[in-house]
Amino acid sequence: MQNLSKITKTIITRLIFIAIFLLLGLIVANQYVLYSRIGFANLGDDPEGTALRISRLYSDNEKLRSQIDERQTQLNELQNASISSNDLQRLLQKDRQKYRIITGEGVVEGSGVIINVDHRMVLTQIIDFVNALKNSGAEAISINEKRIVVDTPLNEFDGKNVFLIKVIGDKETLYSSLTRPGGIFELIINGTAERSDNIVLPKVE
Amino acid sequence: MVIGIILAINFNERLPRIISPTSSIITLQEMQNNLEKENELYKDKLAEIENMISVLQDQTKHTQTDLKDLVADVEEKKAKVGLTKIEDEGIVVVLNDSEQRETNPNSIAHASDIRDLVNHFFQNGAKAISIEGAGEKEERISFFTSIDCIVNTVLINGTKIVPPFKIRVLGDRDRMITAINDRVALKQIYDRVDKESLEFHMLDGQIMVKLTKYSGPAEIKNAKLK
Repeated sequence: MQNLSKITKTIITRLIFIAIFLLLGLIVANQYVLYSRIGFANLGDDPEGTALRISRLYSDNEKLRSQIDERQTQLNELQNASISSNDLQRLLQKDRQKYRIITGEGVVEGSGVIINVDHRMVLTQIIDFVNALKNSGAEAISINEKRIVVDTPLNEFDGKNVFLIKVIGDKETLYSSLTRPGGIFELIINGTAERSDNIVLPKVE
Repeated sequence: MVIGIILAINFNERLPRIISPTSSIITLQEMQNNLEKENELYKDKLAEIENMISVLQDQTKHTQTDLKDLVADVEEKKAKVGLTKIEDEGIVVVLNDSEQRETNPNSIAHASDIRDLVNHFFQNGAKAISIEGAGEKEERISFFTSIDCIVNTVLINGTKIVPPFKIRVLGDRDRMITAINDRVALKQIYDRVDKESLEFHMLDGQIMVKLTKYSGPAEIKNAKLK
């Protein structure tokens, strides 16, 4: 060191200072970025909850996309100035049929699952069970041969010991959501489910 | 130091892979935010298309008189499904976490409370119901609606809703008021109101109640009329 000139010593000292400040800068910025990310992460819920919401949103968005396509096609047809009265009638009938299925005004048929529960269920369990079926994409539901629509109260089934629940919808999704580990049977009440392509549900009484 | 900060920020901006649990959570939350935005856009788009269809169908009543009855029938059924806004007599009920007690399972409003209340009001003759959460996020109850608790939020029609909840109920006011005061049927809620100060009451002065239309998915792919 003694042989180094004063200028060299100054350069080395400055280089050391630069390196130290560069390191400090890296550490400060790294901490800042990390903390801001951790802070953001803490605002939300746990990963499991977020994953569940994502799964639900993904499925909902897919359905909405498909619905938008269908309704856009219908709108385009309606906007077509040359649409005939017959075509218009067909479009209206299509809507009418869909709404009649949802409101339970007609007998409906289709594929889905048939569920048997041979245990007593109280009202809250039945409410949760039906809610879970809707969450799994049920398009039409009946309990003990009574059609369930939006405003059907479930009180009349409270305390019953035998349930025959028929659900029309995607049979694989419904079956899986019922029977998989952590599924509806495990969370609410045990039962058996079978897939079927010929389910018939009565209309609303 | 400035160069160091710039270098560090650049490095962090370009993380090539998910390398820590924190990054995974961030990715999930970013994905959730994007999907929520997408969900809102789709709902708006669908509502816009539905409005245009309604306008065209309404015009049809005047231009093609032979279809007048069919159009009216479709409109009536559409309203019954919940696809139109509605205003009628009713009540608005507030359900909120207790502000006086420390958070515990009995002092907070649950999705299961909302499910029970929806069933209870329909049992008492309600015509239509919607749930509004903080930030005026309102969701109409339809056949397709499930009300789910995911950790500390409630998911209704794909929309994340947090308390205070306003349950808007259309129906005969006297019956609805009797229903909300039924301490036997609503024992689970009233017990928590008494012991844990859970907030549950009717809003005064709301005689005519407006409900938004259902804007969630309403796909029928497997069911058909026999």
